[in-house]
Amino acid sequence: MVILIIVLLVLLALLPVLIPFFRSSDGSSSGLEQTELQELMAEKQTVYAAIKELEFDHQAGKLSLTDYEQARHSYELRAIAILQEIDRLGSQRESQDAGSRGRRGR
Amino acid sequence: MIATLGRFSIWFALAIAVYGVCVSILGIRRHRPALIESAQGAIVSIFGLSSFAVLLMEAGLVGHDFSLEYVARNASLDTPVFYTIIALWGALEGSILLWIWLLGLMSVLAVMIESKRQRELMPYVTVVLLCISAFFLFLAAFPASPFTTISPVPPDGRGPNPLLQNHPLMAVHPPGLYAGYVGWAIPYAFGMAALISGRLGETWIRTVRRWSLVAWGFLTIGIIVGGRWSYEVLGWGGYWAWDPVENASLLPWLTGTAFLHTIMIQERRKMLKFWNVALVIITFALTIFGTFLTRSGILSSVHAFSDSGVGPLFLGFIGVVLFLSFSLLVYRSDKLQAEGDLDSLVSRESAFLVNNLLLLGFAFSVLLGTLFPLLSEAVRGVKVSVGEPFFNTVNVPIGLSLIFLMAIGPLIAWQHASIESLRRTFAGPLCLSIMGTGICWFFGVRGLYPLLAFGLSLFTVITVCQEFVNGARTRRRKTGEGYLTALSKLTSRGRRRYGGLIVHLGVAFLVIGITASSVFKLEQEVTLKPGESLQLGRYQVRFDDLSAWQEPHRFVVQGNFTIFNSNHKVAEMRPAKRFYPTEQQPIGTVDVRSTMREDLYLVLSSFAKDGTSATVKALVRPLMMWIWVGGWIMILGSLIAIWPDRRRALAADSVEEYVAWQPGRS
Repeated sequence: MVILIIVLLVLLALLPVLIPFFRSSDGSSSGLEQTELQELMAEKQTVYAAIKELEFDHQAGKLSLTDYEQARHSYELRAIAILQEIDRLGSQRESQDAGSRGRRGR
Repeated sequence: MIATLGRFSIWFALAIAVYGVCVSILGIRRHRPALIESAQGAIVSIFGLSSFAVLLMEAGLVGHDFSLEYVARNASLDTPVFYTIIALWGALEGSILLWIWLLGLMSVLAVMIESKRQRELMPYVTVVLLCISAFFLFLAAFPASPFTTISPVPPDGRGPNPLLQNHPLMAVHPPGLYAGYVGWAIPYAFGMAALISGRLGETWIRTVRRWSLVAWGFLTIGIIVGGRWSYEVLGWGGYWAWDPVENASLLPWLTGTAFLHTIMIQERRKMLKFWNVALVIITFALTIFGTFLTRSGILSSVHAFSDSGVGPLFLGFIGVVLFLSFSLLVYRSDKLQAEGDLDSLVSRESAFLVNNLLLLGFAFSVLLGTLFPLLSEAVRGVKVSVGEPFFNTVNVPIGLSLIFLMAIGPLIAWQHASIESLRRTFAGPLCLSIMGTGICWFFGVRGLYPLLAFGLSLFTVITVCQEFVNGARTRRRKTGEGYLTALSKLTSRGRRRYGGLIVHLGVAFLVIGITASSVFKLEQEVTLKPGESLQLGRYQVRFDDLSAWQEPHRFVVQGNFTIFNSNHKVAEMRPAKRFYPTEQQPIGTVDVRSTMREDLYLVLSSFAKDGTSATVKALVRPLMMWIWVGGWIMILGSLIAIWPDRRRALAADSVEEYVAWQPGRS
């Protein structure tokens, strides 16, 4: 009885460990640019949320106009820098893609 | 059979953990996703095997399998089933099993939730979590095996320590604390993954925020419930004695609180990158230190219920964790430079920075006070303990400064706040809290610290309420919603911000409770004959008689008291003494009558065997309930802050979608 349970336990415990070897890989290990892009998108979200919060605080009367405008300006500059970086990464991928299509065409 | 299966589960889990570490490293080096996924499968297997081991141990306890040494020591035929079940964490071996199971559970959740979102970091996270699991599985397999057998098998067991079977909160306090300790393994693993992989952007910080809050919430539950247990079981009328084990749970709570604040600075301003990794390392090391103090018996404590030889192993593990982690941190220090600067001293980031220094100062003084007996023994050969006066002298001023920062920090603008903005935000609350402090003085509160504690707590309550009211009003103006709808939508749309404010509100309640219950405490201990009374504050406590009876696992002697308030009977209270066959000293059971205004606390100190007299200790502790209410408000706030935001999740999905459809991706 004990041996039977142990065998069953071993089989069950090995299942999650062994399954990945029998599953066809989707080949989706992310590239460096993709992770960078993800990071930039998350950063963009953080900056947008910060601008929204700032706007709300200003409307609630917590921030003076000068403080609000100063902070908003610095967040906007950061947002522009992030968007430019996202565009740069996108066009870099696009040109890489076009290059590889061209090589394949030849 | 239980012993064989239990031992096998632990050993096999240990083997799988070692296998997982190896294949994960191999998978990272050779870029083989199957190996990495296999290592993640190892985490699932370990969780399954440890769950099986926990079930086996419970079967052993409930089924009174006294061939298991752990069951013979911690269960008995007479122990009620409830206390038999929770005897799992009544001693070292069972606690380590619980640690392993909780770590398995959290690791599985981390893999399930984060493996798709954090593909770059997850292989490293897996390695770190498996290494921690392997250490605890090693302890459970060798020096602290819960499945060790004894021969000859005793007919009955000793049963759990009476203090551990005297209150149902024992079902919540240790698991809460352990979940808090174990929970910090996840942020630590992500921090290490970021260091090893060199991906030290803000991704790991964004990922660990929720995990850190979960760990912090559990730690808060563990500490608050532990205080309540101490208050209702130990019979001295207090809830916190600066005991080494209590301090050990406070240490990671303090550094974890600091971490939760500085991750906001890194997210917003890309500053304090080095500091954040250092904080997560320190917090995790302190959780191991807490387990070590609780379970090694190196320092005497009312909470350390076991004494064992695993201490050096724990110390070795802490040493390895600190050495490897800080070496990596130094190695990566060039990648951890701040990208932003502090614009102004009057800004939220400055307030958070000072708050961090104070929290760390608080933690350092607690650590120093806790370890002082060991340090003095090492230097002078004599164990000298520092008590409440040391901790209060050092920590009360730090605590008061922290409350001040807690009130102003979340309301100051990021980057820079002008005098005009400060005036708009704080003028009203400041005036009201000064008036409130004056009223406290008028009603007899004296002394700088109590007045400051009340005044600053009031300041916090007013600023938090003002924030909610202003927010709801602004939302109402914009959307035309009713006040209540605006308030609830305001909270649900800004869970992180408003959840945090609710936590601060809870802390303010807690501080008010601590101050009032300590400063205005009344206490009397007198011997009474049946029919005689004592007067304490507005209460008259009349001793009626004694009653006694035998229960299956103990003999109980109970004092029956009637409580009057201005000649009106308000309650009957029954403190008791319980005599356990395994203990020489009886265990006192207090009776507490709690209201929001005050607690009346009775302890049956001693009694005449013929029932002609009883010595009773009575205490009145004002606003005691506020401490527990404050604690639950803190937990509610952290739950609100943790709760997933559906809109943010959708936004995150759209980010993934956007990333997935970027040009170049097939």
